[in-house]
Amino acid sequence: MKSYRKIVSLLLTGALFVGAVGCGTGASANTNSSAKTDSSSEGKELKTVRIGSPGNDDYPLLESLKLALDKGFLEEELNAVGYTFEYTPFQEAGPAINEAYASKALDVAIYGELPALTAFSNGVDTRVFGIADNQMNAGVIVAPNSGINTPKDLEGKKVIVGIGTNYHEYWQHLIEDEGIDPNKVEIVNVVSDAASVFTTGEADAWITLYYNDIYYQNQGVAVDIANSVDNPDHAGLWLATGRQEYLAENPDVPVAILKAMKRSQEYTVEHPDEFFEAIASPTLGLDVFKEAYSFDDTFSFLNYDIDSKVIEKLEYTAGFLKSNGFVSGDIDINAFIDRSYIEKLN
Amino acid sequence: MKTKKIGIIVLGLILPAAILLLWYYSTNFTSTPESILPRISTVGRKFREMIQTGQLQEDLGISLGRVLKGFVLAALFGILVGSIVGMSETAKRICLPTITAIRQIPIIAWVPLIILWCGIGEASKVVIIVMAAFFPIMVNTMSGMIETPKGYVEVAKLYKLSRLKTFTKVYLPHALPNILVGLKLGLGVSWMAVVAAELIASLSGIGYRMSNARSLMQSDTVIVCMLVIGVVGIIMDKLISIVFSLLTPWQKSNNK
Repeated sequence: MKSYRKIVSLLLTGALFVGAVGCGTGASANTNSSAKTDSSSEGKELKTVRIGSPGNDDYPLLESLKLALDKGFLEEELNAVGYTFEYTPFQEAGPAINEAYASKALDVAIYGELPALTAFSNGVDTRVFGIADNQMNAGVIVAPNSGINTPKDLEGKKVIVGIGTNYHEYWQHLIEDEGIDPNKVEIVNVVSDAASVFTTGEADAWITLYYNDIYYQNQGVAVDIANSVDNPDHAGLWLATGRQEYLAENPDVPVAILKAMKRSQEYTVEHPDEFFEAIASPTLGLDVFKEAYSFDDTFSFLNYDIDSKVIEKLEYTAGFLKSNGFVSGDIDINAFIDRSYIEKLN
Repeated sequence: MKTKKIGIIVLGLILPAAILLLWYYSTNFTSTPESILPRISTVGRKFREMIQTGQLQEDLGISLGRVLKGFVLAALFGILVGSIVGMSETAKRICLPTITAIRQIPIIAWVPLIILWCGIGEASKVVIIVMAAFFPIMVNTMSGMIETPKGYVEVAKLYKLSRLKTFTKVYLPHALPNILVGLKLGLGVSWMAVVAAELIASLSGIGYRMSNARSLMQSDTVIVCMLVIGVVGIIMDKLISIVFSLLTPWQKSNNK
């Protein structure tokens, strides 16, 4: 009887421990709250807006909103209209954000145009209300002395391309512009393990974000054969999106976020080093980000506006999704864009 | 007898029917969006479409090929290592702590190392399946060998049977039911591991199709793949059960 009780108490302790640990952490994301308290200085109750983006605790991919978060602009602007925020980085990037959107677990997300349009075309009622970065650059790297000097030389080679990601879209640009025969290229579809695959020589080339491109070049293990810095039309977008239902019920939130992004851009122009420090990943180092983001000293890529160039890129992405059979019908870009919050800001 | 059989079948169908009913209700009478849970008819349409284009058969064929290769290798290594560790106290003392430690590591944690060691070709996918299926087969084989009555082993020693004969005449018949249980578990695990394996630089296979559909929010394709994996898993389990009952007819009479 005694031993039976002992076993039961041990099992209960175990269950409680597992419960405590299990409930305390998310599967793919950790949540950080901006404010220690949910009350403003005036004693008003603050509503919480749930914001997400790809990345992790060390390196949240928020672009202009990252500096706004670090400098407190986001908190100030949201507090001013009676809100606070809860930020969640999603390690599994766009697809995980789309799932969170579909289950209404997220109100606002800052992420790439390809997953954002994928969600919209699949009936997830979201809108883009601003831009966190209108030139998310990508590049193609190959091993030094590989004999590959141009994208056309990739025919007959193995190339790492994350299918259904922004890199896939960049690859499509290269195919069209460089006259590459895609049937002559062996695509290696990896994302999270791409660095291992490339550095072990299992693939001849890797299409990746531009700061990775710089990092591996600086490490001496790669050379760049093409990048979207030289051809901005090939670069991706980083959108500020929200659930339509939430945006309609809380119209002050997107305006406050846009204000924070605007302040962030203005601050960056005056203090570029602070922007680099804010967005740099501790693993890759500050210098890599300085180099990767120094292509435009006016920082116009942080402009929050949804201008004609952005619309053109969104239309290209919509066409890309359809022509590859990723979506069945046409995507109405005009229905996806909501400029009303930008207009309120102006 | 016939009524009893029908009763068993009906009982087995209650839960799937309830799930289908709940699914039908949620997608037709509530505001659940298709992106979260597609309608049964949408999934059916996607299934027909995948069959007509031949995509499903192709993916299934590729995945089954990988599962079979991985499972056969896991069975060979698992039975061999399990037998050695189960029959020899020294081998058990040398190997068991390490094996116990290694088998606690989730298969997904091995993926980066497997890429470094085996590359991104078919080999890495088969290795993942082998690693996943090896442990249940090995552990069950070892248990079967250890549970062999010591008296029988002593008698074999008295008759001066060689190690091989002791294995085939004494250990193997006793361990066979356990080995078969291990193989059955191993086959199930192989089928689950193929999904993890096909996340590595894959452009085909049912696991790849599922993860790709997830990235593109095609939940109808995800559900078709899940159902196919489930159904093929049941068929494989039934087939292996039939083979085992033919191999161990005494088990059936013991159960009676």
